[in-house]
Amino acid sequence: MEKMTYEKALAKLEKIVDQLEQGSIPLEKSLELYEEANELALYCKNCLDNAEQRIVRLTKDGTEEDGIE
Amino acid sequence: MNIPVLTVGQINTYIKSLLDGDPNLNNVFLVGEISNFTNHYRTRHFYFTLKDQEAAIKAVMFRSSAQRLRFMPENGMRVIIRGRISVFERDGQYQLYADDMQPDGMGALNIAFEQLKAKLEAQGLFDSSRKKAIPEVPSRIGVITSPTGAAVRDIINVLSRRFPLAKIVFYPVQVQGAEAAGQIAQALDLFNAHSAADVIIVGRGGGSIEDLWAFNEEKVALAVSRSEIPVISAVGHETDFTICDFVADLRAPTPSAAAEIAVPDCREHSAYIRGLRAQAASLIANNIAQQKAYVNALSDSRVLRNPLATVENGRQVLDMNLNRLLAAEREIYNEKSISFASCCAKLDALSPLKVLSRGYAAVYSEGKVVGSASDVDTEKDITIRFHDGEVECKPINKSING
Repeated sequence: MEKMTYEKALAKLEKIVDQLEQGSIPLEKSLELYEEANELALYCKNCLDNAEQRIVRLTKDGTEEDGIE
Repeated sequence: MNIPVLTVGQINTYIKSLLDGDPNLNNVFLVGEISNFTNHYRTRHFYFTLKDQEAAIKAVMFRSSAQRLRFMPENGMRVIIRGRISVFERDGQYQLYADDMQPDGMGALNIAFEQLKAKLEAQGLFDSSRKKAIPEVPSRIGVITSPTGAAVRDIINVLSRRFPLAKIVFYPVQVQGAEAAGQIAQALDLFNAHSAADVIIVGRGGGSIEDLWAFNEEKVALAVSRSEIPVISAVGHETDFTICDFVADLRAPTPSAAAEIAVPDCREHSAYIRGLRAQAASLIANNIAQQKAYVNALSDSRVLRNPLATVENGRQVLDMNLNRLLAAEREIYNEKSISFASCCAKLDALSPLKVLSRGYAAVYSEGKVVGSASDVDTEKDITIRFHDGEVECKPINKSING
């Protein structure tokens, strides 16, 4: 899966569950969706489990520098 | 000069109209000490005198304004009042009509606070329709506060504990002193210019009203209100209210509380994702079970269990139709033969042979029937035809009936 933000992955996961709930999708398509949902859930879980707080400082020209000092 | 004679009522009305027409008197801030305070037992209007060393003015605060006060005025209390000056015509008494009242701890600052608050409120900057929603799952949290205060530590601690997934984008500013308001406003604009965060926490820890004053300045209020990025204001303690709080999209009682509000809880999200996954699994299992049941129902159907049934059925229909066809044919044949027989009978009745058989004979000459005696040529032979044969004859004589 390509690199995506946690909230994008979460939003996609929520959307797939919604779609599965509709119930009007062909079986094969729903199996594909299910597989994707599983990958997304795993991805989100990894994001949460392995998150390390990143702190950057915004400079006057809009770039970011590590640390707050 | 002709000076008109007026009634007392007329002159009071005239004076009232003069005062009411003066914009300076329509919106005044007065500071003074309350005396002769009465809370009218029936109407709940407040009547009092506002005085200082030099002077006094009668004042009234109607119930609609009085019931909004967070405190009860008392004799001897120093207060700042926002209101207007007008005339009570019945008594010819000019007085202060108070709309709002604050206890006067700070004098000038409180007046400034009330004035700016009234001004921005009138401009609609506090309207709830202007408030932007705080994103549910932000990936970048902007933090504008002092790099040395407790607030930044508190905020980072809470964010790290609750939702380490989000990046903290910190911008250090002075949070008190003459420079503070300008720096805070600039920081807000900077975040917006670079879209550097999904939500911004701006604030500081507790302090005196002078310490918190930067957050009561108009430039901060305007920067907050023009921010496209939602802003959470977290200034001082629970009980401190600043202009920045009123303009912000959300007020948090403390910096820690702002951090709590800004992000979801990681553990709750883990549980949520587990839930979503389980839901997807059960939905798909349901779907498969349903499809299975459907396929089973199909393979149980009559056509699939006895495929020849259709053929047999067809054959039956065919036989039935064949029988109907035969019956119809027979019917037509019968009808036709009956009408044929009656036709034959008619024909038979009309047959000339039948006439001859009754003893009549027909006369022919040169192969043609001769129907009358006058047609007979006595020079020529004639043939007489009987029912059982013919006779060649020579006419001897003919006589025509008269």
